[in-house]
Amino acid sequence: MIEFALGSGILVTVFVSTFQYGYFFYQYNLLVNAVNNGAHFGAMQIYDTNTSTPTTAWTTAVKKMVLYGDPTGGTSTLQVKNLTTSNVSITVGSTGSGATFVPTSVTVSITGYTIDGVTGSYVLTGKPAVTYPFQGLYCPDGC
Amino acid sequence: MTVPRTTTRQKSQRGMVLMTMAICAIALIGAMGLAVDLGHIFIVKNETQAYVDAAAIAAALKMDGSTAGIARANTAATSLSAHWNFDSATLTTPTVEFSTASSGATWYLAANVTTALAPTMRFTRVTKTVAPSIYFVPMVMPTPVYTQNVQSQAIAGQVDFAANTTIPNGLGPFTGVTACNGSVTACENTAPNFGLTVGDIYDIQWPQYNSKRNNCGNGNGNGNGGKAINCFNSTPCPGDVTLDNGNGPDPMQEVVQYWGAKTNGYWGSTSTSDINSYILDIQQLASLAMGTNIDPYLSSGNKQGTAAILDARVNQDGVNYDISGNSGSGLQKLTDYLANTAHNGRRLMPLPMVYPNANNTTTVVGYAQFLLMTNISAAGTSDFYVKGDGGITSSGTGNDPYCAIYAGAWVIGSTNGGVGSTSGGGRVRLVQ
Repeated sequence: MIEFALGSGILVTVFVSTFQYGYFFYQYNLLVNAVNNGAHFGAMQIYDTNTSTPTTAWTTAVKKMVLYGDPTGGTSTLQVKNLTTSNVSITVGSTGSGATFVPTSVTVSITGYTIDGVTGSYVLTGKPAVTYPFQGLYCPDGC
Repeated sequence: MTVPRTTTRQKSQRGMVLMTMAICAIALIGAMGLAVDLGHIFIVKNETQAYVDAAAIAAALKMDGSTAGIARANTAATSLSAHWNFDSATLTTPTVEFSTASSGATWYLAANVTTALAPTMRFTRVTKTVAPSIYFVPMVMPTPVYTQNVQSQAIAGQVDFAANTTIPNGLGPFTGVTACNGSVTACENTAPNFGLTVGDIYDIQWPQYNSKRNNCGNGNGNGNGGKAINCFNSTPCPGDVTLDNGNGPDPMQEVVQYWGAKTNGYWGSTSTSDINSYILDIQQLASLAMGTNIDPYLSSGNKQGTAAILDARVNQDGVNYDISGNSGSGLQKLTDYLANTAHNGRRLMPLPMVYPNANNTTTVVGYAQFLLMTNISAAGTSDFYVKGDGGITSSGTGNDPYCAIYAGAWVIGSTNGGVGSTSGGGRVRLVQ
């Protein structure tokens, strides 16, 4: 009985922590793929303002790409459990300002997303993050 | 008699649990290794894959058929940085190679791409190997290894638009006239440069036509009617004058014969706000594809409104000046522009390349980029298209043409040129 108590105690700890790590890795991997999709998509989209703050329509499309793998999909299945638009942060890299502003890169990262576990949870801040060079058309005054 | 038997049984039970635990521990550690170490490796693989994908795209956007372009592509990929190992370590300096095809051809490092090879390089391959630590698997290995190399590789290339690809936006409201050998097929076969020379200065909008001028005609001037150059109130741009030598394909003759006074190569409406959206933003009067007859969209345009907007586009560039000044050659200006890292691509305007081959028929045969001109040699405000400069008559008022430097193939999103093949236009795609 003593051996079983000791052994099972160790075993349960091992199993739980293995599950914990595995689940964390699984979720993190999904997030890497999601931000990769979003950043690649954003970099190919028409960029339609001459500031580093993208238009609402542009931001919405990129965030939907991260969340659903589909820029229009509001009703599709979430790629990652409990991921919301507020967890997705987008940074547009650029050169120049005002008239000479041109977008050069799109970075998508995850902030404030919590990966739950059996024994605790982990909050992601600014990671994973993926950057793509901008390769779309640019219309500074809107189009 | 019962005492020894009990003792024996108890000893046996204790030993069994310990031995089972010992054997199970190896299996358990192996299983944990699979869950933890393999999971870790998968994440590292995905992180580095995203990095090489982005680096391959960054490099492919810079290839323009020159060794300088290859060097810029190499720099673009190697200077891109990203993080791996849960965002804790930095990824830099991947291996960047170039090739003529995405598979089956030799891959060259940037240093090994010669001047002769550069115009054929259309694909770039980026490879990065990282070595994440592994923790559990080594415990059950006969000869433990504590890191595992993970290699990621991506291939990106400039993929030309197919013949039937429709271009809904992005092209400027002017046209480049191809030097064709009397048929559309001949024009297409001469892509990516359509008989033009990179660095030469061509008309994107032709000067005022006047058939009443002395010796105006579409002949070559050798007793075969008047010369085409005599039909314009102002001299066309130097590149087109050079091609009008009576010895082959000649844009000026095509323009005189089939466009005349009806049009000058501008396609779009005459409203200033529309011209703004064509030149500064990416709107088009209509979608185009190779084979489209652009003739119905051609019009005489609104010259005065257009000039100021062309200058506005020039002044949106970080490099809106030519360091070689007005006297520099077109090729010198183009080379200086591309080599200056402050340039942002706004002076490069993609246009449809057309072939006027019959009355009311002007066929789109491909796409190309033109470098808009400037009349300043240091930072300031250019007004070339409003006023022209001493060397080239190109102004918004009067009879002058609009000239621009032919810069080769167009790649969407590139602030440099492209390599081009069948259509002279394309976009960068991840191939693998």
